[in-house]
Amino acid sequence: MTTSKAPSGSNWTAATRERLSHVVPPGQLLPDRQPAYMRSWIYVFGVACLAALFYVIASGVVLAVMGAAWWHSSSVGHFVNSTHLWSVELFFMFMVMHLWAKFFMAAWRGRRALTWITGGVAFIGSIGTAFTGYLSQSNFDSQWISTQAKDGVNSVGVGPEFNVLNTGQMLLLHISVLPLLIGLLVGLHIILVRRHGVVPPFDAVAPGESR
Amino acid sequence: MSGRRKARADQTPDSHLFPTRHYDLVKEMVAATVVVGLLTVVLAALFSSPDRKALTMANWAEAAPADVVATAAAELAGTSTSAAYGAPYNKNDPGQKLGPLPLQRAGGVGLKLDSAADLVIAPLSTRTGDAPLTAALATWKGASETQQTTWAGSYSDALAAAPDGDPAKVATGDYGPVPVLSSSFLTLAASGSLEGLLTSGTTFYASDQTRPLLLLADGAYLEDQARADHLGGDQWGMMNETGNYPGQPWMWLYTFWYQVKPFSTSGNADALVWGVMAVLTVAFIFIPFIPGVRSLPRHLRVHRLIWRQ
Amino acid sequence: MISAGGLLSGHAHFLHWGVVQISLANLIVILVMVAVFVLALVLPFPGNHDAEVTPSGDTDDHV
Repeated sequence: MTTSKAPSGSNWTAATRERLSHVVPPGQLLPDRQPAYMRSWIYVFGVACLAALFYVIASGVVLAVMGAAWWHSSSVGHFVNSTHLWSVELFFMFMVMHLWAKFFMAAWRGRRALTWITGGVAFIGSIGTAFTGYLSQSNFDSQWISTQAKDGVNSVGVGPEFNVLNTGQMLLLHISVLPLLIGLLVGLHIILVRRHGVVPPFDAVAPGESR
Repeated sequence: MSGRRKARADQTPDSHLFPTRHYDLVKEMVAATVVVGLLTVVLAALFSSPDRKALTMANWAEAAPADVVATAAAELAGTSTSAAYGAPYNKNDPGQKLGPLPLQRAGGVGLKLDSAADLVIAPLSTRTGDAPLTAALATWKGASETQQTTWAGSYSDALAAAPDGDPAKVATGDYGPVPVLSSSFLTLAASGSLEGLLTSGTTFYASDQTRPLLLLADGAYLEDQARADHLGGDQWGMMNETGNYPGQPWMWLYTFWYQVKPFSTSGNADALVWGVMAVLTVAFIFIPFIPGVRSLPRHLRVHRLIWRQ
Repeated sequence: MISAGGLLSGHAHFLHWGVVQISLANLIVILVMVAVFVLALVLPFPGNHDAEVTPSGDTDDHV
């Protein structure tokens, strides 16, 4: 037996297991049914955004494995860099369309504010992550973007901690800290969607209920 | 929206109470992955990605030698952008404020730089076998700060007044060792070793390009090249990319403020824009709690196309 | 250095309306996004599976 009926207050493992089991309603982590009111192509942008993120990470991993300057001198490397660029463009396109859709649905209704918030923070965080990516290209773009962006960062006093002219720092942030944070936010966001389910239409009434 | 409705709690029913139909989330994920993967590969194959080569100091020296000389003189005079920047490089300017808050100065001088000494004199001091340069350096180092500033300032002004900024056509005057230092600096830049001296001058491994980038940005050449590609701040540059590539359309609102007053004419533009965007970003993230904005979707009625039953 | 030559490496085209300046490439991206979004709103979602719809019996999973 791996579990017991000991009072959960005295056993941290049992208490944690108990807590985790209620994060998502039973069967809702990967349900094979969904509310009948979900009947529109508008719902595909979230998953499309997620798919694009897979390619951003996959192409990024290849670029990391082969080294920061590989893509400048290898045609295969340049192609991988191109897939990184275009998967990022698609990632942002689908994310913004997903945002538009969720706004028009007021998808924060029904105690889903945190879902909106995690999505919003992930959006802003993605912009920051992409920014460090632009700084890591080791080409003319990096030179211009860094020397311009430093003025914005310096003007609010965070220049010493976030030196956009320091390629070592920017590249390390881009391939470690920032993707980890984005991954955490995206994971949290998806768990919240599964927890609360997809928001019902405005003024929808569940069968058996009355307004 | 009536006040009564605002006071009422959110009555959205639990989505799990509604009728359901079969759906295959994993199949959907796989389909999305295949489609997006194909899109990615096709776009990458068709359009590739931009890779405009980094400017080198040698490029700069060859394309705009007068600019290199003028920049060296400005560094020595303490009038270059980096020399007169303030925090985090030095204390020579109070920096930008957000309203009454001196945020730039509050950040402290955490990336200390003496533009004249670190960007010009130090790399030049590594040269040997150049007697005029050695003598000029000795004269410079032996002079008072006031004398140094006077020499370099006069030379900067004279360069600006010369036809095409050409050092060869500068009017005669008392510039001390500055002309020799500046022209030697141009030679050093043209040799290709300047970047290395500025990054790994005191360390074997270089991963911090702060010094060569500040030097490059102190000149006009980098900006001229960028503006030719519409990358300048007042050209909506934050949204753009070199060549004909799409850039960062999502930066539209951030860069918009720089195009209009009061930001376009303010010395505190960067801090002000940050402040505005910080407020808007927080508002965006907390839309669910903002009355009026959170009710907008209901009234816009786009949802009628989504939920058509 | 591998040349980044290709369909998009030429000089950019820009459009101007008053203070607004936008590159053709960015404009196309935005227009494509709007077009796809509108299509997603108006195109019918496949499946006429009303017969499959079952009332939800789950009442114990409210969180």
